Amino acid sequence: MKKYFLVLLIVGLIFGAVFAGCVSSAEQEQMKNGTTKDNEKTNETPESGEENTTMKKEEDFKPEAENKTGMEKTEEAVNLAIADGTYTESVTYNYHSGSETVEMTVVVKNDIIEGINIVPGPNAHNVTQKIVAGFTDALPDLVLGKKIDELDLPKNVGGSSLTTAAFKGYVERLVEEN
Amino acid sequence: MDVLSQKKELIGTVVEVKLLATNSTLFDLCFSEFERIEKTYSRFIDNSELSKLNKILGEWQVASEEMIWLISKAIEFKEKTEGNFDITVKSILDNLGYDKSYSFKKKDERKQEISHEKEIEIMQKEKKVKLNKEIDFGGFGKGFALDRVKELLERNKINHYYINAGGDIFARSDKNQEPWAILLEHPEDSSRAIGKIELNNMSLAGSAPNRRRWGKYHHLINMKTREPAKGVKAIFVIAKTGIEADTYSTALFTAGFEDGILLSRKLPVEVLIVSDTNKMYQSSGFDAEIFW
Repeated sequence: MKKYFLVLLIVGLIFGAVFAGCVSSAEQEQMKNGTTKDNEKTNETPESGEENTTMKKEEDFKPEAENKTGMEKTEEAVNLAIADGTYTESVTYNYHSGSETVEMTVVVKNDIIEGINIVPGPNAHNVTQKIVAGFTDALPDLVLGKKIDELDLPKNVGGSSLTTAAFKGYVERLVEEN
Repeated sequence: MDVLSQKKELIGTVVEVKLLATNSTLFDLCFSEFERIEKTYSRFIDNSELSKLNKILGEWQVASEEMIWLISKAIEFKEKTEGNFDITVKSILDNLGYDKSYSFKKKDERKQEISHEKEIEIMQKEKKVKLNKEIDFGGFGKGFALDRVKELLERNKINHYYINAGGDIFARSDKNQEPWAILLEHPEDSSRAIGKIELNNMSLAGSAPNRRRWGKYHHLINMKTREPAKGVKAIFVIAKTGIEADTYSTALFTAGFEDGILLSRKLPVEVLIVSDTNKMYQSSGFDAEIFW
């Protein structure tokens, strides 16, 4: 009988070890794919048999960012369309009788546009200055709080199709280059 | 909610911006606007648009829309302040030594100026200006910069902010936040305050000669005597916009204590004026707690 129990114990231990290894590999695969759920992970080792593994302890309710592992945070940074920062560039574009330069600034955090500033160059034509002013007034409602790589701007913002096209091109270039 | 503050040396002074922590990504946007204004309108920067205009007197020159607006505004303010605010003050400041090289030495001979009936002429439609005297935006430049940065923040949906450009302040409080309380600096001891005031969606400007003084001179010029103004030790002005508060504080300081009080009653401002003999005038709407 004792021998029988000993054999069962050894077999059990071997299965346990192999099974644990499989879970660990599966977890690693999930982390690679960015699909690991922290809340499930934190309840894998309940302190007592009565504790339901789907229930969360009070201390487990942390902000999402705090629960993330270093690897997940790195993956998020890699997955961003553009690095956080304030981007400024003098953008030149053509119109029917020449070209204009407008300074465009975009503030981005976690891919979300948090700020913009559009300033016509000092030598901008009077008409351009008025058109750019209309564009600048209308633009915030269309871009603030939106994902920079998912902007869906109309062809003509605030009465200016050329400035709109220049802004779209600038944003696309920012995402490509940063 | 936490408020964050950042400071930078810009437009000839220390600029401080305070924003809610959640809006902290916009600090750079604010400071870059101050930088743009400095590069365009400083008389101390040789290739600024203002310096270029000042180099060619007596000829029509094309200028930016913003420059034309500023010069037009300056002409309007000169009329409203009965000549006490004048952007053609530059040659007087230069002669007293407050010049591009900060020589702080009075010059013996006055700089040659082309004599014309009108010091500045503007063709609004053509966006052209003719200067017959050099001009300087020091009297309202900080206030203009405050307004531009305020507009920028509001366009970006920010409703709780504090912008301080060397004592000229624009502040706005969101209804869910604490109002901004501003201390009024003692004119003789910057470590002390003479009062405290809450500021919401208004601008406060202070003028006192203690920060820009050399020898017996300072930078606030009485345009009638062409000498540094006398009679006022400090003035605080509240107005709807930064450019108005800055302009009127300059003008009321240079007018002197009694004339300044009379002039302030004709302008859209609330004021606190301290004379050089420590008399104090506080207009009825200047809602401050005074410790003086």
